[in-house]
Amino acid sequence: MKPLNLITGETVGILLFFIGLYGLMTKKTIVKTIMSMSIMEAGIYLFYITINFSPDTVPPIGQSREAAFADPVPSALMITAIVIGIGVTAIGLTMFMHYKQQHGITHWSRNRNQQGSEH
Amino acid sequence: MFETIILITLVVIACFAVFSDNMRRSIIYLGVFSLAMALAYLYYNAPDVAIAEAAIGVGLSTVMYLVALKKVSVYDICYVNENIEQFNDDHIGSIMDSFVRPMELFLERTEEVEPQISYTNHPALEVLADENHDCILHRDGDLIYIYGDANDRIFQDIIANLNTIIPDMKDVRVVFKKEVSLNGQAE
Amino acid sequence: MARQSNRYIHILRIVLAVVGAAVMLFVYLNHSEKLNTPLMDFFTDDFLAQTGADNAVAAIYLNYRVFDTLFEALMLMVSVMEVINVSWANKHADRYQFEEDDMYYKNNSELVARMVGIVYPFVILLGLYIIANGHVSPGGGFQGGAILATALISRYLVYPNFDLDLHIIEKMEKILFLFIVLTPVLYVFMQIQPDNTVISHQVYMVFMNTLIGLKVFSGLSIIFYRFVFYEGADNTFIDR
Repeated sequence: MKPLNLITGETVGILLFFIGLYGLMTKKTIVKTIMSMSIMEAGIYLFYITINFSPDTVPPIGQSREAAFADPVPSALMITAIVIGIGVTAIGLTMFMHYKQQHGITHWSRNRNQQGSEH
Repeated sequence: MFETIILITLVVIACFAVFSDNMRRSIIYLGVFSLAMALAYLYYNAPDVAIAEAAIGVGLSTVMYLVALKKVSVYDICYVNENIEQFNDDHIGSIMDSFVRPMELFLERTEEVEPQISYTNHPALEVLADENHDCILHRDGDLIYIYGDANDRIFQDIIANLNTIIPDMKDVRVVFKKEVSLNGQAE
Repeated sequence: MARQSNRYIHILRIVLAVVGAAVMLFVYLNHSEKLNTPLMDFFTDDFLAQTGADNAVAAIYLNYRVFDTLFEALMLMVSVMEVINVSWANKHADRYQFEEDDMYYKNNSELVARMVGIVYPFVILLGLYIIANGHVSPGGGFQGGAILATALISRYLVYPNFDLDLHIIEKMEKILFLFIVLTPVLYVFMQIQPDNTVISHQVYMVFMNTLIGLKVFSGLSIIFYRFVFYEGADNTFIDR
């Protein structure tokens, strides 16, 4: 059994990325694909935020230096990345709705000319 | 210790969100995943990112997915049992394994529509006349009547695979809706 | 057979995901090294006197690395434009007509309507507080803008018929983006500052946070309402 200090933020970030990648490759509905992409992005955010973490730091706010500051640089970059992530989700869902209007089905399929059910 | 617990929770909830078949459930799991992620960011001394993830991931992203899900077709099934005065959890639990779960699995995996099952104890002919369900299952003692439209592709698939959905077929009769009138029923 | 090849492709995908995860974890655990952090030392050295912010993250995304913020604001505007242009109702606008449906008034939940009516002023107040105090405590423009957008989305939950005029919000967003680009170019890049004190820097920070917050609020509400308004209609408009 591996020791428990192997479960850090970076390893869980890599694991989440590959769970999302599996969901992206195998699911048949389009909304599931977009959700898996969202999970992949969340894994990457977690990886970046824990990259310079040590347990005896404080958040980088204020002027009283009683302990060392946590790293503010990846934190500032990841705020940008989260807002971009929601932009990608919105674009993906708009394209999904357009696809449904045109083709009538809500899953990936090889021959897109077949008609879906009337529900 | 807290770090280990929260990271393992994250992986478990992400697995539920990806591997679940019902789409509404996996969207809710995604919302819970965002919330747990906000807690993890707070543990790692990044409060700005935690507020951003909580406001954007839970508030906006989940609602957008739910609105987009309105486009996915919903298959409406009504289960009618006139002999029960009031439906409670015991009644539903007793038919859960024999009928509800296999039907949901079949609809999600093979047909790729969202199932939605409702339970009622009104008279079956009233339900047929007033409401507009896609498929009505009427249970009368040991007899099961299934009502549906004849030109409904999903209903035809259900009828074709009926012996895998309801494994112990006591006595099942299939009725096509356009032949039913309010005074009697034809088979 | 198609079934056989489907099974093989499925197994190949599972193997790819598992092997990829194993390889990445192995490489990370064995070959990662700890480097120095010159950027962090420079940024957290004296950020109050140089930028006027108590929050180091706000100092970074509003002063030291303000170029990234400009492009993020641009990205939000691009995604708003994409949502408007890909939507089906734009191309077939002559075939699209929505009907006022009086049934909506009867189907609404009274509980949700009353509770949202009580709660939404506090949500707006919280959003404005987080925007205005972004340089002193955790928060800032993006977070506050998202919370303000949540207040507008709750209006949709209560009252799902479509009578919001989006043109004013679209114009406001474009004008705000122009100011968001203009202000750092004048203040940070060309250093046209009234005087180099902490007060002047703080005024700049509050102004930028307010602009960013209002822009994010308009962008996200446009995205959401465009979604719901045009795409939530039923499928009867396919062939006409």
